Amino acid sequence: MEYSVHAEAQAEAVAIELRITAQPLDEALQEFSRQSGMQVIFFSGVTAGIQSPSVKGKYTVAAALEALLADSGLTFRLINARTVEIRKAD
Amino acid sequence: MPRPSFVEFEEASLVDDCPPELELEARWTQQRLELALAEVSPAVRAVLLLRLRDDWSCQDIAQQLGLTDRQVKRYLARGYDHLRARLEG
Amino acid sequence: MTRERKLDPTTREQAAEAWETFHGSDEATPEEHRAFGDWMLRSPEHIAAYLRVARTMRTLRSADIRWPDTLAETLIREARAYTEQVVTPLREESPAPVHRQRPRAARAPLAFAFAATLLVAIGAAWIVWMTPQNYETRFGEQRFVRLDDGSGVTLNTDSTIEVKLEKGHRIVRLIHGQALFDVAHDAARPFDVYTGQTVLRAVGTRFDVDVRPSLTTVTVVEGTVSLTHGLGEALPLGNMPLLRAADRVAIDSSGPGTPQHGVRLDEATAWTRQQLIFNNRTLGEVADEFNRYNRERIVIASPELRSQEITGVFKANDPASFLTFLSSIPGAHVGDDDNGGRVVTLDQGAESRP
Repeated sequence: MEYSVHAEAQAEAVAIELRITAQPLDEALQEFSRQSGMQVIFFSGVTAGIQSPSVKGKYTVAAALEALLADSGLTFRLINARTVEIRKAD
Repeated sequence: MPRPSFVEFEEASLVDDCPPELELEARWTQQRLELALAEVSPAVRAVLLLRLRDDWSCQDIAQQLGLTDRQVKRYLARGYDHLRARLEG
Repeated sequence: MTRERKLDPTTREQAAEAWETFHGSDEATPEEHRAFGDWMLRSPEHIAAYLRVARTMRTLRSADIRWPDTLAETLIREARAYTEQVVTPLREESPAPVHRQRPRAARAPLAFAFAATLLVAIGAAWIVWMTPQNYETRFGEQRFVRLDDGSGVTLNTDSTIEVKLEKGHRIVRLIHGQALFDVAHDAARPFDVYTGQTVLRAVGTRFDVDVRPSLTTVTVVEGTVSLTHGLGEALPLGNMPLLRAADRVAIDSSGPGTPQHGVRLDEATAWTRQQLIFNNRTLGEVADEFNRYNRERIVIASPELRSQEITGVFKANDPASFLTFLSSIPGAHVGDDDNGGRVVTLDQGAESRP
């Protein structure tokens, strides 16, 4: 499994302005992608039936994803500095 | 039935009378005509317009386009058929 | 008007020729009269065909018809250019263009003094006006073109269009590839996109046409588009419903399918932002999509892996990230193939879903 510490460090660094309303999680993640410029990918079944919370304000990529995925049983993994995968928490 | 040596046709008695043109139908016909003319190849388009619009003879068309008389008639037939297809229905 | 039975092409052609014989500029000879009579008597179909042609010609002779005013010289020039290029002129009926061997649209020398005078008066714009303009993108390239009528065309990777803006008509042939059309409103001039056997007529609109080897897909983003399919056969305008925003229709060799409604437009137009958006699409489809934009092809060898569905948002020019994702799937391996591409395989019995 590839895991770039460097990528993680970057995700921690820059904060961006986000305005994501509460909606089905797969849509919220696409919205996140649009607003942050990050590439997002996940297996379709993973987000089925899950609603996202509303996420508004200045967030780093990591913080934003933590907020979006709170209480969903899902986690994220940085594939590289610009791409994130959403998966079930171990 | 004995076959006549040649048959004369009076066009007026054979072609069914079209109802008087309504404004809408005229516009529809116009659109369909333009569509039909745009769809055919440049060769067929030239032959159709020179023949029907400008009243050139087939020989003149053949000469200008560098085709044989036969080819012009063939393009014309194709063109008529396409016009008919688009103007009907 | 009731639907008439279909007549075969030879009969139709003969009928048209017959009409021409009797209404041409020369008087028909007794011999021709005889031959015509024989032909008519041979079959009721012949009579029906003749009547249909006559009816059409009668409609055309009505005073209300306005013919396009293209100059005779122009018609001749275009016809000659066409017949010189086409290998089998008499068989080639459809306007789908022959792949031109010559580099650009025919800019034939202006042999006519009349035309030369016009040129002096109007300027170089006249050449652009009357001859088709070709626009092309290479593999992996995208390009936005603003046409003279104000319409915009965004070309995707490896695409070619031919544009003809005329006085009564605007015609674009999508010869190959994909394009998003942003049609400028012009009530006097319909905007038609030709692709294969289909004609799309735009009515103040934005729509996407994607031509693939055996399938063409049309997606309407804004406005209305009418679709006519099958040249040489009459299709009443009322037959195919108008396509509206968020409608999509797929056209294959048997013609247009049933239109789909409620298409996600951000997905449909994502490519214009160099993005690829996938909503529950299989990994195989995703790889194919990346391959349209990137020379280093990705092939997913395992059918099980290929059929897994994902949702994602990617940059079209970043297949590497997608490959990294694939390689991180348990049991998956990314290797090189013989053609400079990457092949993804899956271990037997491995669970590919995390």
